[in-house]
Amino acid sequence: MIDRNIQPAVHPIQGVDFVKPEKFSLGNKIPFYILKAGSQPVIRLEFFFKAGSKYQKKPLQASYTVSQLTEGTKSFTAREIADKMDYYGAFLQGEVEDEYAVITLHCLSKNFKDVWPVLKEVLTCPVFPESELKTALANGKQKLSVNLNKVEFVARREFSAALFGNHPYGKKADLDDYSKLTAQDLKEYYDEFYRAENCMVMASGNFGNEIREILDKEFILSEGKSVYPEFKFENIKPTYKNIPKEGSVQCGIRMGKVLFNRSHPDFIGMNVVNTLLGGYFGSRLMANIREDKGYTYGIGSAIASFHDTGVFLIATEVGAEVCKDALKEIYKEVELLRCEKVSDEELSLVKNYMLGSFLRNSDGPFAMSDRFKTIYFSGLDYSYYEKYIQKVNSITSDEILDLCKKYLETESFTEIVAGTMI
Amino acid sequence: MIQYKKHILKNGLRVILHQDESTPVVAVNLIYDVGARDEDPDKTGFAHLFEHLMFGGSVNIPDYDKPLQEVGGTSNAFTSNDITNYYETLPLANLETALWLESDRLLSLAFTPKSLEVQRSVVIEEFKQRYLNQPYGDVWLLLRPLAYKEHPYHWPTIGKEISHIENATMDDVKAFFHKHYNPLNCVLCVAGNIKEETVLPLVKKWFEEIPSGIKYDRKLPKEPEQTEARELTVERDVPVDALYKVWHMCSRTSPDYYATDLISDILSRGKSSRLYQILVKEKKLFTEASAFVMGDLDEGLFVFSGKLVDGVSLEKANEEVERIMYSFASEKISDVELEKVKNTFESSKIFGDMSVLNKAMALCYGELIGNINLINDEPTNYRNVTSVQIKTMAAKVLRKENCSTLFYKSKK
Repeated sequence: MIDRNIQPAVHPIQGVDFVKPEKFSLGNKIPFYILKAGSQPVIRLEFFFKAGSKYQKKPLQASYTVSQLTEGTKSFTAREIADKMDYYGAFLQGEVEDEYAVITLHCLSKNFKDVWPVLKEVLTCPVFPESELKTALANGKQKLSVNLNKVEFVARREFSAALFGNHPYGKKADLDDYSKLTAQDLKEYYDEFYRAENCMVMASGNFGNEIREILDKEFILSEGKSVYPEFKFENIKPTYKNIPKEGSVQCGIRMGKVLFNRSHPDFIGMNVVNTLLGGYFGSRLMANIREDKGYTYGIGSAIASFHDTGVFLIATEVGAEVCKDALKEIYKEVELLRCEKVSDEELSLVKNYMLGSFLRNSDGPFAMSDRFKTIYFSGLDYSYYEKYIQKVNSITSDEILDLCKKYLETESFTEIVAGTMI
Repeated sequence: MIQYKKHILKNGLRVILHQDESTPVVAVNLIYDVGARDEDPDKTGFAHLFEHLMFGGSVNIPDYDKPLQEVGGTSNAFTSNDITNYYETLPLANLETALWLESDRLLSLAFTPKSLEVQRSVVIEEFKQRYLNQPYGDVWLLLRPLAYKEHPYHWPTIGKEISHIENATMDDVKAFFHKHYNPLNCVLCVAGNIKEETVLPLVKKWFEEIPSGIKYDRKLPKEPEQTEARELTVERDVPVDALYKVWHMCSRTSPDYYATDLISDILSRGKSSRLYQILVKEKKLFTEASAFVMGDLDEGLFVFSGKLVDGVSLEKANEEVERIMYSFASEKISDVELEKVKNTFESSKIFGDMSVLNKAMALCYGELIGNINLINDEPTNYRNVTSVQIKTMAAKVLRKENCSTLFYKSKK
């Protein structure tokens, strides 16, 4: 007879056997990383350009430069590009973050050679047609006006602006920025930053050597050093802001502070703190504000690592009539971590959860290459992951308490609430 | 070809095992043959509320989440109008913990009053967050009753109204469990770097003794044929107008499903698709427009959804959409257009099969709807669709009399 009251044996989670990429050098010395793993005959090909939103001279410039690459090149119209990609079941997408713009291709490995002629032009000779841009801007402006009705979106925007002020990390696009952007702005941004010096390419999946041969021979970008402005962070005091919204049944809350990025010695320790506070379903915030009080469908915390710095934040949407109570409870949970040591039992659970999570996030060729990109763009190497596992396994409740005392003083938090609190 | 082995335990539980040597993670998926369509019309939202309660502690295990987190696992679930699906992913070495947890809550829930109270509030917050507090959030609360008059699809998974959730009692909840949650009404799949000789005994150990229960015999009212066009106009606090049109179509298990699905792909998959090129790029009537099929197990819906460019009238936009839809059956479908959507299906499937969890879900779903090999049959089913079949389905589905339209006006 089985005894359902006894949990089956728990096996400790082993480390991860990373598949590491091989490094090559393309034509104009562009670094090309290849990570082959998995059995599905697919490729994810990513082209990174140091042309992120941090360096733009006006709002939307960086994001529209990358998204308009596919809207017309020297030999192909937007329609022809779309036709080619769609015909082969290939997916092409351009996105920006602060530092980098990335163009990502997903396709079956056998079709790379079929879509490359079009992709090559998208990357090396886009023409930025005025009519395409006009349509895209009109549609983008409308999407923003819809998003401005979402309390989560508004809270997120206001939070970044409050934390970073005039630093690019805090800048946001407003509705009238859409009429100020021109095709010329995009041409200039492309010419300045989409150069060999600023490019990195990564391929992951299961494919043959022809990808490298083709790129080596045909992927040619203009040369020359780009000029990258530098930015300073202002010293900004914590802010409290409420953006009312008539009729909102929920309020969006975002609070936190500027912290530090992955290269900081306390980053890994704070990751453990973050998981404990709000990084998983059993966290302090979830257990209280959702599972005990029922104020929300979801609440969490995060540590975000950027190139220049990092942010600690807590985010949720709560019923408008319980918003004030929810805020009280959030502060209560943070303060609790700063006064009371976490029990060995709870800490052990958090550690195991984190290791399991790490394992899941390293599963498969795309996840493995994501793990590589994380360290690559942070200027670190694989020893970071050994350190991570070692630190997660060994951190004590005393160290957790010290970190909370040092970094989670709630007086230093900026607090943004979008929606009208009842 | 995805390989798998099916077993039926003594209590009737269907178990599927799939080996995938490439992953250190194992997926455990359990699909239950119950969805929003099986609810009492005066007690809607139950299947979904119940999904929440399944995480509130079972008869021998007061806390579902902690033991799973302790072994490095994660868990989630979703409910639709047709089914409820639960899944865990965790390091392979700790598979038995997931089997212990899933089997205990299949056996019986703890049914604590606290759990019901809290999840009631959580679901009400979810109702607000997804349906009431988002611009255009209440679209399906309006469209469903317009399209369906008799069939239970006329209410959404979240429930017809918040009061149904507010009024749910512990007795209601217990009755629901006994009716739907037993080994005869679910399918289990374990997928990962597993060996049948080690995993099957573990599954039997935890699941085989659970009483079979009674098989749920689904008898739902059939939706009568819609014989004339229906329309509804509402005004909401949103920045721009939106247009929604739905047409009745066949069920997911009908042989006609694939041709119908490809209609929606030809119309709206990718930037080269007809709706994007005509409505967004060329005529600039919409900022976004899409067509898709719901994939319901009973006769489902073919959907058009779009947001209008500010200043364009709903009447004009609707006219153009109708022109495109109602001429589809008589227009030529080029070989390129047909190849394209078939290639896209294939490519998406190959990417999807990278995930051990996706495979486990697909195997469970296939078995539940009567074809465990669906995951391997589908590429052929789509490949075999001809343009004649597509046009036949278009003529059958895309008709004015078969359509319900929601004009969603901005209050501005």
